[in-house]
Amino acid sequence: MMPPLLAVRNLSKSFDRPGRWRLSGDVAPAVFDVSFEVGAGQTFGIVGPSGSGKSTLLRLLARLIDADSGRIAFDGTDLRALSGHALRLARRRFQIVSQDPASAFDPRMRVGAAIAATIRLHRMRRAQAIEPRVTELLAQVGLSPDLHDRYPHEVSGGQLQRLAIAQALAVEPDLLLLDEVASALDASVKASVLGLLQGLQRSLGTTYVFVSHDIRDMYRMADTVGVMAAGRLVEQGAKRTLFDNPRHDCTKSLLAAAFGQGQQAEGGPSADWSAPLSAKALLRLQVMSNAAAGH
Amino acid sequence: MTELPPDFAPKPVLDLRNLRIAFGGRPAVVEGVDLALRPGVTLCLVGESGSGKSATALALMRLLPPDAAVSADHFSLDGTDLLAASSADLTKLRGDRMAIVFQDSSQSLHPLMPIGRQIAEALTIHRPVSPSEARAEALAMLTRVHMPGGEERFDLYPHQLSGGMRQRVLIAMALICQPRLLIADEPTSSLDAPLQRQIMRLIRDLTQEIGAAVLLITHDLMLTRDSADEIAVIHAGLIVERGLRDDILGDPMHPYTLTLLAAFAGPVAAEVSRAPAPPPGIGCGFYPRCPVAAPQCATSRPPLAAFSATHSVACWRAPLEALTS
Repeated sequence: MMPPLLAVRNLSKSFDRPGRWRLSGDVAPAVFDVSFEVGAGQTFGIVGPSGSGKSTLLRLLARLIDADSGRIAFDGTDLRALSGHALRLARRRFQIVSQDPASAFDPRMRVGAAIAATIRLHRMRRAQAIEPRVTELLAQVGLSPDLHDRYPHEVSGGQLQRLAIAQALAVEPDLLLLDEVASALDASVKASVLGLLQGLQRSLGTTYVFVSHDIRDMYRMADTVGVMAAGRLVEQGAKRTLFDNPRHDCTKSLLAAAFGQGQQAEGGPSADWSAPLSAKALLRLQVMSNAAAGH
Repeated sequence: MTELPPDFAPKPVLDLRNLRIAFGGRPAVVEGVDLALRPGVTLCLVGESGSGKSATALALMRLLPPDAAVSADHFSLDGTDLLAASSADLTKLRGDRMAIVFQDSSQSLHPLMPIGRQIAEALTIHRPVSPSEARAEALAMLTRVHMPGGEERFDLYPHQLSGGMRQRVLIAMALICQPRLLIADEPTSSLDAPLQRQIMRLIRDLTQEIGAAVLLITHDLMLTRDSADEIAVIHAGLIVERGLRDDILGDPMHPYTLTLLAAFAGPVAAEVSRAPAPPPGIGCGFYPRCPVAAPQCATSRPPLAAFSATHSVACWRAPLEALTS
């Protein structure tokens, strides 16, 4: 078996509580004793409620903030031990994409120029090969070359998220850290962005750590899933095993909230995912589905 | 819960008939939308992005940019004609008699002002109150929106709060003047599911207390289960189905409404076509995406036809089960 691309061991991080004097020693652990592994080309999904530490964990993995303790082994190298030039070189191999793609772009720079600047900064291409590469990246994320000269505010949220993904891909990373990348998008745009990420993984073999508060996204994206609550990974395992047989209350309540089985703690979610839909709705959806299949 | 048919319900706070919005001479993004919002009643306007739901919300607040052409046969808030109102009148109305809560709480709050002062300011702009009275009112609002930690948070800055807490601050600001109309545009889309429910319940409880009408804009039909009295489904700028909540959730008729619900049919449900909606042509706007479309649907736009006293649908093919026999 291949060694994992990313192996995280006992990672912890605390912050001082806001608005309190540091003297009190009153600190909140944001991430506590987190361990998991992701194989190359696989997707590890992290799901949990707001404030459970998912984003902090991703920021630790990206070395945007420093952990208090633990180990992050990326392709065999301990990321926490790197600094300076070695860290910059390693950074090229992992990229973070956030929920708010607008924050990834300079509002006064055209999006094509922003992507070109990334390629230039990381010296990924010779000068004359940069523009063709930008065009190629736009095509890869399913965008028309016409968008090249737009400003970030002139494209839709879904398009901007695709551009942020293109920018991350510009450095040809082995690992993408995806932080709620589709959460602010509505259902159909979200489906297309998630579909894009799946396609890219198939063609490029990129490894994903995919964070979302919506457990429904995990069905679509993840191979293995970790459930996070109050800074800890309370449960993890292969997607099907975990969701068919959730053990932790947090997993159960996330499943219940997502699939609408009333309130939590009724012996966990049943296998009847369609419970919230009325019989009439299901019948008509069946008619639509049959008609779609018949076309 | 409104059990009464619309004719017997109390007089609407907002009465809007035949709203049309177009930008810079291009085809209309919203056409023929009628809305009657009644005190204490929540109407959910549901649709995907680009369906015209946010444009409608901004039109109600008269916040669309100058190149937007907004017209309506009738457009009044408690008898005040909003189309004829001057910009000075509108400034007085906004935040006082009508208020809006946006999706993005981090952009709606001033990053350099403590949240308590921002809530108090919403009051002092519209009411002749002393700074200490405004502070007391703002503190009371923080408690009413169930801000965890309550008064201790008064002097914190927006970045020190979580997304859910910031959304509570926005609700406190919007409701401190006791508006007649609250518009909430995707107020919970960036929050997780349990938190969404809490915030929706909060909006519902507080607006019922002051008898405000609520227009809730969302792309998530399931979110309407806990919060809506009435639902209108909008697609490509047209309302394609409307009714009481149970009409729409229990007896959804329009294929577009069903598509929105399909996401909840379970993780293994077959994907119904997700092609982007084209601009409305002569036929039904949903025709290119509709698996059950007939030739008629391409050439003739179905009218919003009543199926019951409360439930209307704009679809030539409804109800769909009739197609199987």
